[in-house]
Order: sequence, then C-alpha cells, then structure tokens
Amino acid sequence: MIRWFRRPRDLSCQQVAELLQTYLDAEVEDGTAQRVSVHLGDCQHCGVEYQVYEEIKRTLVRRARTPVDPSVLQALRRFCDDLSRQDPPAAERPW
Amino acid sequence: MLAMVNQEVDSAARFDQYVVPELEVLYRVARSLNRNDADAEDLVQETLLRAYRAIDRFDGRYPRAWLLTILRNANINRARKKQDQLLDDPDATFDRTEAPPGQSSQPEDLVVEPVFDDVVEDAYRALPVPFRQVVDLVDLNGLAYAEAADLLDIPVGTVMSRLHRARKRIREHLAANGVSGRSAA
Repeated sequence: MIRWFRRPRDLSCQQVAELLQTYLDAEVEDGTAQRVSVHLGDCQHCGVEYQVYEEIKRTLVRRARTPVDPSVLQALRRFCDDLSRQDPPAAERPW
Repeated sequence: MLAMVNQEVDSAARFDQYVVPELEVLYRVARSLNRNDADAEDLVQETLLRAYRAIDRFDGRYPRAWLLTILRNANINRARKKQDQLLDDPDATFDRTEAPPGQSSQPEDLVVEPVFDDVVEDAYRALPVPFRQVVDLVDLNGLAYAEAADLLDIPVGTVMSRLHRARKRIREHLAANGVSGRSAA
C-alpha cells in the first residue's frame, strides 16, 4: 500500500529530532519509542543522525571503562573496615 | 551488654553486605561531581560515615539508590560549607566558554583524517563543567535522567537540556573537523 499522506501515528523528522537523544537513552515511553524506531527505519536522514549520536554515546561509554585506581578502592575498603571495627571518630571530621 | 555487641556485629555485617559492593560506583559518581580525586575520596568517606550511622534503619532494598541519596546530601552539604560555585546558576555562565576548535590540530594533522574517538575526546574536554557533569553521570556512570537530576538536585528537564546540548556540541565539533562516521581505525 502506497502511503501518500503521513498517517496521524507517523512522526515527522522534526519530532524525531527532538526525541532522538531521549530515545537513545531509553528514556522515551514504549509507544513513542516504537514510533521513533519505525521512522528511523524509514528515513535515511534521521537514521544517519541517530547513528552519529549512537556512536558518540558509545565512545563516551568506552571512555568510562578506564579502571579506577585500585589503591583508592583499597583505601576506601580500609576506611570501611575501620568504621566497622570502632565507633567513627566523629569529632575529627571537619564537617 | 551482649545485646549491644550483637547489634554492632549486625551493623558491620549489614554494612559489608549492602555498602562495600557499591564502593566503586560511589567513587566514580563522586569523581563525576568533583574537580579532583582528593575531593571525590573525601565525599565518598563522608557518605560511608553517614551510611554506617544509618545502616540500622536501612530496609535492605535498593542499596545503590539509598547510598546515592546519602552521597547527594553529603555533596550538597559540602558545597554549602565550601561556598562552592555549584550554588551559582551555571546555566548563566557556560555559554561564554566556547569550545576552542581542535586545539591539537597542527597543519600536518589536517592531511590525515582525524580519528573519531580523538575528536570526541577533545570536544568532551572542552565542555563546560555543568555539561560534562551530566555526561559523566548518564553516559559514563549509566544513571537514568531522574537519578542524575536527584543527585545534582536539579530538574530532570535541566539534565536533559544539558546532556543533549553537550552531545550536540560534540556532534558539531565532529562536523567542524570533517569527521562524519567512524573512521576505520
């Protein structure tokens, strides 16, 4: 069936542009997410835009995987042990 | 006396069960909220202290959310005491800081297509602090919008606005450096 007119359910490119990043973060409710997904499948321009933002997010997430300095975590674990073993020296805290 | 000792043992055990597994998450989030590692560590210690004092009242559900709430309150408290610029409205100032276009680009670099990741990294580093904080919390720490909003004590709309504008800047930086898709590394 050829669609000459946009059905009321279909989203416009402008609507998708506004939702794009929220959709990327999986913060759009299911019904709307489905409509965005359909549009991205049909529309090359929006599809490409989405891929760029997806890649940006992926790059940032990769950056996050840099491991935390193990000595810092060790120090924090020791701090936890100290708390468990004795009453915290509350008077010594600056705040 | 024995009852009191049992209570302490119980607290320690609960602390071990619910809090210690979250140390790395707490530290990463604390680092997202602070300029330097020392402040981040201080914030986590303050959070642990408060958590230890409150562990008996904790019902055991959603320890991460519970701890992040404590961390948020500790952070707000620190900011108030330090009279940090966090209290000023950052939205009024960040537009002044324009991302310097590809500072690392020497003439010879223009011959070689810049690598996607490097350009993203450049743009990320050039982001104003309020933008970078939200990117850190949502993208780097995997928090939801509402969690980030709660942590920073700002509306969800502001989280979305900053995050989306931050990514848009990165997008524009990519375009300005002639990088469209990911180059085959």
